[in-house]
Amino acid sequence: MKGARILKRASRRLSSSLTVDKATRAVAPIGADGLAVLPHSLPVLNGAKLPAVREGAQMIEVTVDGHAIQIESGSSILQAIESVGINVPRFCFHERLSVAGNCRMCLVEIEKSPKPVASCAMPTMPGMKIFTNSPMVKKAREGVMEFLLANHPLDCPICDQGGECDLQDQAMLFGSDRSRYYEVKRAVEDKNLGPLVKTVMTRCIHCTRCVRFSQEVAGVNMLGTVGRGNAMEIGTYVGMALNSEMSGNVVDLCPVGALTSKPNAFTARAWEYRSTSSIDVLDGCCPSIKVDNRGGEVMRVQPRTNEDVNEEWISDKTRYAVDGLKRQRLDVPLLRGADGLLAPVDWKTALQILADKLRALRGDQIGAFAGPLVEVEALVALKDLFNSLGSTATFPPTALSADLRASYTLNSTIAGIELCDALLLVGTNPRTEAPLLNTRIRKMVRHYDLPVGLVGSAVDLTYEYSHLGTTAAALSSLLTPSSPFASVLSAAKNPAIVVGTAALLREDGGAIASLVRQVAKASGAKGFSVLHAAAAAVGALDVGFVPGPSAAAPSRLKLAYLLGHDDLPAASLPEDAFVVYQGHHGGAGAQMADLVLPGAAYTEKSATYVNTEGRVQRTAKAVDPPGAAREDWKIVVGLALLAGKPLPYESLGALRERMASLAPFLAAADGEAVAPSSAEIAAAALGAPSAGQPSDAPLGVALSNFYMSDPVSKASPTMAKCVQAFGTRA
Amino acid sequence: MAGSSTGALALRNVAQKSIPFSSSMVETKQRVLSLHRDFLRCVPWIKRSYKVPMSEEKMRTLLTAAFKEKAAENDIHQINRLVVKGRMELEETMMMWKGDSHVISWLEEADAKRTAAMKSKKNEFLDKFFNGL
Repeated sequence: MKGARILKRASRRLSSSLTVDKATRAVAPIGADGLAVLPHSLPVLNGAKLPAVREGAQMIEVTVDGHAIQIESGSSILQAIESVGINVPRFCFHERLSVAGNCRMCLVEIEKSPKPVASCAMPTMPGMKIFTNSPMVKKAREGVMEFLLANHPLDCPICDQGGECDLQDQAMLFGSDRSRYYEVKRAVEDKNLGPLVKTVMTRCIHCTRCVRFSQEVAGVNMLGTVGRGNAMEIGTYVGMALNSEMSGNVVDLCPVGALTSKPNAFTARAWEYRSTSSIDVLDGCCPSIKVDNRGGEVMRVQPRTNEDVNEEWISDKTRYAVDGLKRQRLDVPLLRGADGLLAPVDWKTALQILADKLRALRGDQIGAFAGPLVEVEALVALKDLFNSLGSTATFPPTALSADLRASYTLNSTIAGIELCDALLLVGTNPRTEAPLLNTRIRKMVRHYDLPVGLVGSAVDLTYEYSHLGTTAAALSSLLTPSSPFASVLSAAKNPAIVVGTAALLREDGGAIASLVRQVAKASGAKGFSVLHAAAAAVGALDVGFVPGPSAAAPSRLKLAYLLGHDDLPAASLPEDAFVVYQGHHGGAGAQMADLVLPGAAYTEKSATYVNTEGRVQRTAKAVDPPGAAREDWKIVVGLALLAGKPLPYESLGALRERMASLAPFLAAADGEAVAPSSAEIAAAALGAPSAGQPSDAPLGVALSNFYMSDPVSKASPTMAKCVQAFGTRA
Repeated sequence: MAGSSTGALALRNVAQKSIPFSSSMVETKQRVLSLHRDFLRCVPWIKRSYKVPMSEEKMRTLLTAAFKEKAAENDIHQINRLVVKGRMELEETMMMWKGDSHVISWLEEADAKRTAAMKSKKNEFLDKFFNGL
C-alpha cells in the first residue's frame, strides 16, 4: 500500500510539469494509479542478435516502462530502451555516426526530471526510471513533429522519398492529425552536390546526418551547416559537388527527401520495387546489397547490413553502376562474317562452330582467360572442359600462385583490420580498390590513431598516413630498425600488412612479395594480406583456374576463349587466332572476338563469388538475362556436350557439388564465416624462398579509373558523369 | 487390400468395360483418366499379390509412362479401343488370371524400354538450352 502511494505521488510530480490535455489522455489509457497503462511484457527482439556485453563492462540496472533491465554502464538511454526491443523514434541519431541530439524526436520521460530528455544523448544512471510511452512522451513527440512539419513542404506526392520516408512514417505514428499552422513555410535554395545526389533543400529537417557522415565516415569535409535557427542551411562550403566515392550513402541516411538519388529521380516509387538480397561483385570486397527491380529491370541498388563486410555502406560504383546493366548488353550470339563484321547467329550454329573448332585443335593450341566478374561456377565448368580437351592454359584474372590460400587472400579479413594496431599498405590505393576497407581504416585512424604507412604512389586517402616511398626500396628500408615506421611496426602487437595486386602482378612481383614477407617476419606479423580489386580473383585461385606447368603461352594459341576478359591486348595473341568472347557486355573483348556468346550479369544469375578475404557468398537472380543471353555455366556445359566431351554435371546442384569437391569451403556459400588459415600455414606462406631483386619502378595502383573498372561500370552513363565531375580517382 | 475397395474397383472395372464406345472426346477423356487412376490405385495390391520386386513408386511411373506413350493418339475409335483393352488387362490382373511372371516381365520390359529412351535422349540439356528454358 505504501508503495502505491509513493508511485501515485511520483506520477503526480511527473505529470504536473506538463499539462496533458484530454485528447492525449484518451490515446494513452491511464490506470487508476494515474500512470499510463504499460504493456505487461517487453517486446521480444525478433531474432536480432543482442549486442555482446564487453569484457569487464560494469552493468547497471535501470527501469524501462516498469521493467528492470541490466545495461552496460555508460550506455545512452536510447541504447537501454533499444536493448529490450522498444522502438524509439529518431531522425538525427544513427548508430554509426556521432551523437548530435538536435532533432529531439527521441524524447523520453525520466522520473524526477522536470523535462523530457533526448534519449540518444543522455547517459543512463543506476536506478533510472525511464518511461517511453507516457502522456508526457506522447505530447513531446507530437510537439516535436509539429515543429518539424511547420517548415516541411507537403510535396510527398512528387517526392522520391515518398513511401520510404522516416518523416512520413513517424508523422503517421506520432504526429497530430491536424495542422495549426497557417503561416508561409520557409524555402531554401537547392544545392548542386554533383551527378549522384539530388537535393531539395526545402525538405531538410537539419538532422545533420549527411554532415556527420561526410566528415566521419567518408572523410571529406565538404558538407556543413551555414547559418543558425530558421536560417540554417546544409550545403557544401563553396558550391562544390560532394566529392567522395561513398557519397551515395547520404541518400540512405537522409531521413526525408532532401537528399535523393539523382540517377533514379522520378523513375519509380518505393512500393513498386521487388527486392532481392544479393551481393555486389564490382569490387573485391563483395558487399551485401539489395537489388530493387521493377518490370524486369534493375532500378537501384541499396546496401544491406553486413557487419563483416560493408557495415551498412556501399561505394558509389556499387550503387550507381547498375544502369550499365541496361547498356551495351550482348543479347544474341554473334559471329564475325567474311566481311569482318559481327552478325547475329542462333545458339545452335554458334556452339556448333565453336565445338568443331575445339575438336579440330590440339590441347596445346587452345587457352582460356577469365575476367574480373566471372563466378566460380563458370570457372569450374570451363576449367573442366579445357582440361578434358587436354589444355591447362587457363589464365586467372590475377596471375598469382594458387598453392597456399594464405598467400593470396586478405588474411587480416575486412572486419579484422579493426583489430590491428599498425598498418602498412604496399602498392595499393584502398580508397579505390576497396572503399569499404578504406572506411574501416579511416574509422581506426579517427578513433584510435592507427599508424598507417604507405609504400607506393602517394594517393589521396581519407586519413593521415606516413608515406614511406614510392619504390620497393622503401620496403627494404623497413628492414633496417632505424627506420621510424619499422619501429612502429615492431612495437605493434598485431601489425597488418596489406599488399595491392598492382605490386604483386608486376614482372618483379615475386621479389616484392618476398620483400613483404621479410618485413612481415621482421615486424612479427602473422602474415600479409592481399587486397584484390576483382571479385573473381580469389574464386579462380581457389578452384585452381591457373595455368599448368605445360600450359601454352598466349602467343602460340590458335583459339582463345575469353570468359568476360576485356583487357587482353590483341598483340599477345597470334594474328590468325580464333577469339571467342563469352560475357555480358560488348567491350574490348567482344570487339576483338570472332564469336561472341552472350552471358548473364551478376544480377541475372545465382552465382558463387569469393571475396578478397576468402568469404564465399552467392548472388541471387533478380531479373532475367536479356534476349538470348544464357547463364554462363550453361553455355560451357552445352559447348562441352557438342564438343563430345560432356561434363559430369548438367544441373547447378551437381556443378556445385563438383565445386565443393575441388574446394570444400565452397559448399556453404552463406558468407557466414571465412575459413581462417592456420598459423602454421601462414608461417609457411611467409617462408617461401626469396626471388630476385625488385626493380626501381615506382609501385602503382590496381585501378586506373575507379568509376570505370569493369564491363558494367564502363557501360554506365552515371559512372561516365562521375568521371566528368570527379575525375578517375586514380 | 483385397477388401471392399478392391471389390468396388473390380465392379467398376466390369461396368466400365461394358461401355463399348463414348462418342464425345470429353466423355472419353474422363474414362481414360479413370482407368489411369484405377491402375495407380491397384499398385500396392498388385505388388503384394504378384510379389513384384520393384518399389510402388517405380511401378506407378512405368504405368503412367505406358499411358503417356499413347498421349498423342487423337482418333476417338482408337482411344476407345485402348480403354477397353486397358480395362481387360486390369480385370485379368485383379482376378489373378495372370501369373507372377506375366506381370513382372511386363514391368521389367517397360523399365528397360524407359531406360533406353532416357539414354537416347542425351540432348535434353541442349534442347532446353537452345529453347532458353
